Amino acid sequence: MKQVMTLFILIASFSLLNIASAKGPKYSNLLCKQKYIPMKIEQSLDSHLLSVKFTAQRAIDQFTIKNVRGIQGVKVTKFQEQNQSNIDSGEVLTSAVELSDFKGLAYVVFDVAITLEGVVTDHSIPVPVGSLSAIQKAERSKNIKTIKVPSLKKEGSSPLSAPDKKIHEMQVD
Amino acid sequence: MKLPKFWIHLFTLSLLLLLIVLGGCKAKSSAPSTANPTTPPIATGTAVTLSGSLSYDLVPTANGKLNYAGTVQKPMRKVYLELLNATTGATLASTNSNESGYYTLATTTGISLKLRVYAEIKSPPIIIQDNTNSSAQYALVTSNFTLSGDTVRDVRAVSGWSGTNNAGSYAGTRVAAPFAMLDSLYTISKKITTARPAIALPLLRLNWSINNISVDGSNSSGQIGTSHYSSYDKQLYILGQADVDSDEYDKHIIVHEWGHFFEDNLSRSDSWGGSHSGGDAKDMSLAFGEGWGNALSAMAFDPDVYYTDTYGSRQQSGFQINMESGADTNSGWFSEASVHQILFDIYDSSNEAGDTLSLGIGPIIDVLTTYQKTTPASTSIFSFITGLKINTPSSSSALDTLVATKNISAINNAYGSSEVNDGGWDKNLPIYNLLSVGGASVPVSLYGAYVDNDFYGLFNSIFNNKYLKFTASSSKTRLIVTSTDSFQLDVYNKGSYIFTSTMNQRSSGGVFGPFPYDVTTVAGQEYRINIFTDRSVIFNKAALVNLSVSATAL
Repeated sequence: MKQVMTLFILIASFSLLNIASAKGPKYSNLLCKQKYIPMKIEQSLDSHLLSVKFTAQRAIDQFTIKNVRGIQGVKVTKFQEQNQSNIDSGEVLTSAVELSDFKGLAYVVFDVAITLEGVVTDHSIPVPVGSLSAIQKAERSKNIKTIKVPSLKKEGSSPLSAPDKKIHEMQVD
Repeated sequence: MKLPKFWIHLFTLSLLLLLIVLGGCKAKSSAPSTANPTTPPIATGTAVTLSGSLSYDLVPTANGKLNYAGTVQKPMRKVYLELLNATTGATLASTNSNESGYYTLATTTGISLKLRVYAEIKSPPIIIQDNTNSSAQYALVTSNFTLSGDTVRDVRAVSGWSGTNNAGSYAGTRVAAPFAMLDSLYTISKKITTARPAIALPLLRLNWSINNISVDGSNSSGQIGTSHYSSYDKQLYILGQADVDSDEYDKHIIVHEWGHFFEDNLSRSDSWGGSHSGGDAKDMSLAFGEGWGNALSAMAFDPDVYYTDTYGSRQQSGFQINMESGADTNSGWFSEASVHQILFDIYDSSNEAGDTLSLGIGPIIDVLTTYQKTTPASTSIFSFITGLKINTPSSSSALDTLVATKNISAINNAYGSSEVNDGGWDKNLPIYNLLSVGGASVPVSLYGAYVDNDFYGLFNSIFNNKYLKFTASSSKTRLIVTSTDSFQLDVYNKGSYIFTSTMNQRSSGGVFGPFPYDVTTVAGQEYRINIFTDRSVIFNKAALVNLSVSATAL
């Protein structure tokens, strides 16, 4: 069965729209965005073919896809190189990536170079595919220990139960 | 009574043999001189001391990349640790390491033990936790051991990296990461509290995970967008996904985000947040907040003035910004680069053209925790310099000279009323339009630009937000607005929000307004109005919105 999933990742602007909606009495949730990518990124996954649209949000001198790779379990079997110059604001570039061997949540990472006003910056843009599986959740939480915290008891009063303490333990020799 | 020499020599030899057998543990020569010289006792229940040093691997940055080859061991300063009964899990003793990472615990012999070292400092309170695992607190645990006498046991948290910079990977658990971030936070906390001991820092929780990735989604999944401070829960979220972007060793980023924590909890920030980068003409509050974070990171690690962000495959991409003399292509009151260079010049002891100040961090903290916190104006370089001039009037002339190097006019008040740099659009001045209660209406123009990021910004540029101010003359003031399109009006008193019109959305043609808004006021007090719009709700699809605002006393 052909399953089509469309996700929208607006690397720069999506979260900002959320922030914008909180304007007024509530100040922004995110106070800081360190790295600016002047592209809106949309993706769709059709079986094992990932299609990604890069929409320029301002004029870009040059946009280069240098490499595409998978992390957290996905393999990239084929991708198209891109090297586009003089991109206008609103112009759309597309990239198709063939994937294999992914289960649960994984990320396809686009290593790109963007030239803005003569300045070249490298970026690694992750694009998620799939969703977190039960196996992945179990793997993530395998080192979590729960510790019972003794109740607090003041003289002449009933004990105050304290919440269990969770610890992410990391073993060293 | 003196022991014969023979017995002393035999005892020493036995002790050395015991040391070899114990391996891994470095025992002090502390066995009691009255012990049986032929068979040193391993008694159960004898009081002994366990001590040692705690360290973590610090991976330094070099030329905007992580340099694993240059990894050094740094002390875990002031961390909280517990000695556990390895069989029952019961806590037998606890302590905090000292400034050199050393700890000492009292225990007894003959029990199976282990150490649990928390990524936590008790004073000031800081906890490093895993946002992808129910906020579980990070802690390292040692393997089990049993003591037979006073023992020195050192513990090292390793980076987990294996191989070279260009061909290695995180093959092991990244134990050092939480402790590296903890130590960066301790560095800046100590710097602040040393300069101003009266400052009490509230509990800070820093969320980090190897699954924290630069994708917008839920914090619990690790999709945190980017490293940031959240004013929603007053916690830090830091990236950790290797080969994409991990910030645990990008110490300037950790302190930059802490700067937002400081502003939000002990000072004040009117920043809209949102995307920003050097060369942008941003809303003055955002420019100040980001510039403050940048400058603070350089102050924390002075003389390392390079704000460095590493990312990419094997963390071998990245950039550096020199906080002292980096590029500032669009200098002015709206530039975060201008702000961080001004703040660092006020702080640092090395002076250059236009900079004759070396005030240190104390006077900067003083302004942030007093004048900046209560100014009726929006937080900005104008309010900060005004507060600093009040506190250190002898620096006024030098401050005028310093801000002039960044194309900022001499600052005489928090409203920047003498500013002549319009940032590229004459409608950006005056920075605050003066609204006279009972007087004529005031024209205001702005650009609505939420969706597309072009010259006029997303929503946080100087083109998107306009300010007015008025002094109330009664207990209620009516604000009247006419506009060419959709708008929102918010009113603040001393930084506190007191009124919003909500987004007044235009849905049909014809005249839009006038709209009256009655605001409860106090006679004699100053009020700040912020007006903005949203391109997505603009009726006539034109980005430019012209408004007219007036005020009358009720």
